[in-house]
Amino acid sequence: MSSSSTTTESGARPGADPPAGEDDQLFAGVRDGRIDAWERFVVRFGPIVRAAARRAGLRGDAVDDAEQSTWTVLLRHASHIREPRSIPAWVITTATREAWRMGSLKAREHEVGQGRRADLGLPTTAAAADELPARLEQVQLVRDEVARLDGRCRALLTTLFLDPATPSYEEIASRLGIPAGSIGPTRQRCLARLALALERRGFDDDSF
Amino acid sequence: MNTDAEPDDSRLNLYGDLIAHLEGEPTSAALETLRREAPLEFDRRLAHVRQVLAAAAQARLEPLPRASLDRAKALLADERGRGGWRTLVGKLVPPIADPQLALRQQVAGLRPYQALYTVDDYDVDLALDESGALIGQLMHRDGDELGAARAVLRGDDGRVAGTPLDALGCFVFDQLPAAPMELSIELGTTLIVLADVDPNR
Repeated sequence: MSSSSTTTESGARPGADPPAGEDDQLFAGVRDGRIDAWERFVVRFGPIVRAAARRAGLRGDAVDDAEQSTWTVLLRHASHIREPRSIPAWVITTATREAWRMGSLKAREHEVGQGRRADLGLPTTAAAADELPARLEQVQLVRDEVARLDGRCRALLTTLFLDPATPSYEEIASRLGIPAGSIGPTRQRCLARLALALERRGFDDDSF
Repeated sequence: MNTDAEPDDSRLNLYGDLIAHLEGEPTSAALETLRREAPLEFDRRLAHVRQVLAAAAQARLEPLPRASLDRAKALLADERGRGGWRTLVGKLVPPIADPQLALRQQVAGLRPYQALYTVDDYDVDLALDESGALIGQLMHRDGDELGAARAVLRGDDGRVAGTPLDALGCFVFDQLPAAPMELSIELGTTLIVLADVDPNR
């Protein structure tokens, strides 16, 4: 069975995130200043960092700026973080904080008050900004657990939910070598596996 | 890669039934039984599946642009070259005949462990008090104010503890991880690292 052959601009396969157990090795390489580890790290977390910026209301160059600001903060504090299990949460929290900070700067540049923040697509309350990291952590957890599923489910759910190309059921069936009519039932079974895996990872826990 | 060595079939079937239920298919007999006999459990499982489906629906993210990756790689080289952060590694001062620590806190009883580290313009005194707590003090040699600082202790067993320094640069760790430990003190953009902190030696 072939997995998705679509690649991103940066050369990474969508949903090709490493299993959570490899995060410690990856981050150890980042702490050591290894460019290869850093590149893999950016490819792994770059999409969620940019998603944080967009969902905080930033657009265009501001998304790029928020992303680079997040990497700057990460590099400057890399040696402080020793527990890789917290890396996704740390990255997402930092990304949303940087996006929120840039959004606030943008609001001040336009001299807008609270009432017009919504017009700029910016979170209008601190609570709205606070909800964002939790939602993004769930998204990252879904992406991580899809990558850990068995081959058939990983390929199917990656194609259905992570592939930016959003292929049709016919294209998916052709790509995966399965009848189009079996995609629906297989999808449900694979989502059930995903739901079980996420339950075990504390997906719903506030303490994630 | 399958994370479930032995999948819990009953839970898988339950989640499958819940997904089918949410997508408008007829409710299975097992699900009806659960809803009738354990409504709270039913609600909890249903809420979990709803959240999973909602998160999955948002999991399709914009691919990382090539330019972003190139900028990030350049950032690493730039940060290193600019010295965006300083990491100073403390040197353990060789033991002297009768070490006198410059601790400003009063410590009762014998101190089974005491050590002095020096790094750049700073001195760090460490000692173990009678309760087994690690007490320490960071001082600037010229007496400059330290500003906000935080000490982080990492043990050989992976445990990590952190505590802020007080106005005099003092800090205390009541519960110690396994030795040898690494003590790092974050002071603005400076990180002071004391490797091989081992009260057993």
